[in-house]
Amino acid sequence: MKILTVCGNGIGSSLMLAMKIEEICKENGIAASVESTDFNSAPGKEADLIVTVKELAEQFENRRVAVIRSYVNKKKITEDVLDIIKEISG
Amino acid sequence: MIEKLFTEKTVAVDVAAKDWEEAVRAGGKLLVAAGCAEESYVTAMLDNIRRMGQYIVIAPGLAMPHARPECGVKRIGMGLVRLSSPVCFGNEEYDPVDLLITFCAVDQSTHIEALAELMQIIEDEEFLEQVRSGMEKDAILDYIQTKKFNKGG
Repeated sequence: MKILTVCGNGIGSSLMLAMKIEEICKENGIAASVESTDFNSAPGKEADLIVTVKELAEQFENRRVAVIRSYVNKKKITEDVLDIIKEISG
Repeated sequence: MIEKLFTEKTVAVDVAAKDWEEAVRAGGKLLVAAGCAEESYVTAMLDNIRRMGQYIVIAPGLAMPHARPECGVKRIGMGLVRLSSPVCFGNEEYDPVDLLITFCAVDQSTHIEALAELMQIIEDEEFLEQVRSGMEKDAILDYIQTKKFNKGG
């Protein structure tokens, strides 16, 4: 499955989030490619799941979005995304 | 890699700032002084926060202001600011902020290694606790210089 992590610039928070999600997927034996991107480019990109914070989530209508509370706290990220990732990859 | 980025010039302790804008400017100034970014980068960081919100406060008390590579970046850089008293960014969960890590990157990917190492700093609660409780600048630099980072993958 393809996961897109989104922040304002696509070079900081979303990149750190992508690293965490890669770890989470790996630990759970889920095959996923994770790409980070900026807020403006995100709508034009294909993905099974978009992961971002609530401030940036609203623009993604008709897309599958997981809202995270933290870009770096692995425990919180896991709580916020793992069930959805499992559901989509299942 | 980040041991090369956090230097005498890019770490500042006990910086006075009356609000989040002053705090971000202080962090930006470090990158400019170190020759990593133009003045315009500092403005771009402020604009980003105004426009896109307070999500750059990424952990309790810790903000990570940054802007895009094309906004006046000369080379990769990271700066650390400890405020003498905390400021609020308007982030419900993680305000007030007393530590800022500013960074600039030349493109979307060459700083991944630095960012992966930075995450290990951010997750090093013991170290952040020491920084917050008055660790000297030299000691902060020493710690980062000698910290063993896990390589990703």
